[in-house]
Amino acid sequence: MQFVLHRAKKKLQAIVLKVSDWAIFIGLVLIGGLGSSYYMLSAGNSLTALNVGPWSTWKHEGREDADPYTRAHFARSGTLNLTTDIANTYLASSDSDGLKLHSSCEYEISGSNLEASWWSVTALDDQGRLINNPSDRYTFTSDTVAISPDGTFTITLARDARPGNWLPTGGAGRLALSMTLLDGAAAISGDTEAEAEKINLPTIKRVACR
Amino acid sequence: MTLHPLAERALGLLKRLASIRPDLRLVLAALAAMGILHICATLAAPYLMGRSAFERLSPMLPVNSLVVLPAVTPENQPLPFLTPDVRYAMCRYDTAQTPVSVGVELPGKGWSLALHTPKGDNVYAATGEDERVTSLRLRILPTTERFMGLTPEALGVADTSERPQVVRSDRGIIVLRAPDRGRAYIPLTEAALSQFKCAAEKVR
Repeated sequence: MQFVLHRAKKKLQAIVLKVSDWAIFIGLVLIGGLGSSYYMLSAGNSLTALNVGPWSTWKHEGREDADPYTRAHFARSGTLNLTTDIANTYLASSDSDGLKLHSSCEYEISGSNLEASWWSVTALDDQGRLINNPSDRYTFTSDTVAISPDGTFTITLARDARPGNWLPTGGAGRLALSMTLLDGAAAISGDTEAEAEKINLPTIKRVACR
Repeated sequence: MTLHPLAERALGLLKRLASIRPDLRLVLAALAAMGILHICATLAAPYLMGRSAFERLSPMLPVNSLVVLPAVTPENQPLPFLTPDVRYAMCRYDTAQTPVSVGVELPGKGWSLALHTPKGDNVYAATGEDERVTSLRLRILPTTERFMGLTPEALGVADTSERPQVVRSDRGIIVLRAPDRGRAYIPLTEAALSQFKCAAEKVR
C-alpha cells in the first residue's frame, strides 16, 4: 500500500514539475513577446522614433511605407497625422531635465528661429485631450505667438494667468505638449541621432512647483 | 594529476553548463517563441486596438461631401491630439461608384491638404506657400482598373481645362487644414475653407 502511495506521490511530483516548467515557459514567452511589442509601440527605438531633447517624433508617421511599429503606434492612438514628407509632429511629456510635465508646476518653453514655414505648440493632458480653461487658450502658432525683438519667444505653461504667451494648464494632472512643424526641412531630414542634434527645438524649463 | 585552481574552476563551470544543455534548448525555444509572439502582436495591433481615426470620424462625415468642422475645443474634440492650431474641413471620399473631384486653393503658409486612407496613410499631401495661392485639382480614382465613364474626348467634347492630378485610392478622408491666425481672421478662414470642393463626378 505504502509502495503504491509512494509511486503516486512521485508521479504527481513529476506532473507538477512538468506543468510548472511549462507555466514558466509560457509566462516568460508572454511577458517577453507582448512586453517587448508594447514597448516598441509606445516608445519606439532609434530606427522608428527620433528624440530631440524632451521632444520625440516618429520618423515614418503618416507615410505609406511606414514600418509596422509606426503603424501600430498610430492605430493605438487613433490620430490623424500628417506625413513626414510635409510636417513633423513632436510630442513632449517631460521637461528638458527629464521630469514629467505636471499641471502643478510652471514651465517656460523657449525657442528661436524654428526651421519651419509654420509651427504650433499646443498644451494637452497626457491622453491628448485639450485642457478646459475660461480663457479658451489651447495653442500658440507662429502667427499668434508674441516674439521678442531678438527673434526669441517664450511660452509660459502655468495654472494661473501670466503675462505674455500664457497657456493655462488648469488641474489637468500630467501634461503633454504637441508641436507641429510644417515644411521643416531640418526636422524632416533629421533621420539619425547626429542630425537630430542639429535640429533646433524649444527647451522646456521647470520654473516652480506648488 | 593536479590541476591549477583556475582550470579546476573552469572545468567545474563547463560541467555545470553541460548539465543544463536541455535548459539551453528551452531558452532558445522561449526566445524563438517570444520573437514570433512579438511579430504577431505588432502586426495584429492595428486591427485589435480600438477605433481608428477613420472609424471615429466616419459617422459625422457624409460620403463625398464637404464638412467644415467647428473650432476644436475641449467639448468638441473628435480625436485625441486633434489640436486647435488649425481649423479643419473634411470630406470622406469613396470611389466605389464614381471618381471624386477635389478642388482647393491654399492661400498661404500653414495651409495643408492631405488624403488619409482608413489605415491613416497619407496618399497625397501638399502645403501652401508664403504669399502665394496654390491651386490644387485632384481626381481620385479607385485602385483597381475599371470603366469609370467616357472621357470628354470620347464624347466628342474638347476638354480645354487643365488636367487634374490623379490619385488612386478607394476610401479615406481628405483633410484641409487652415492655420489659426487669431480671432480677427476667423471669418476669412471659414470663407476660404468653404471654397473647398469635393464631389463625386457625374458618369456619362
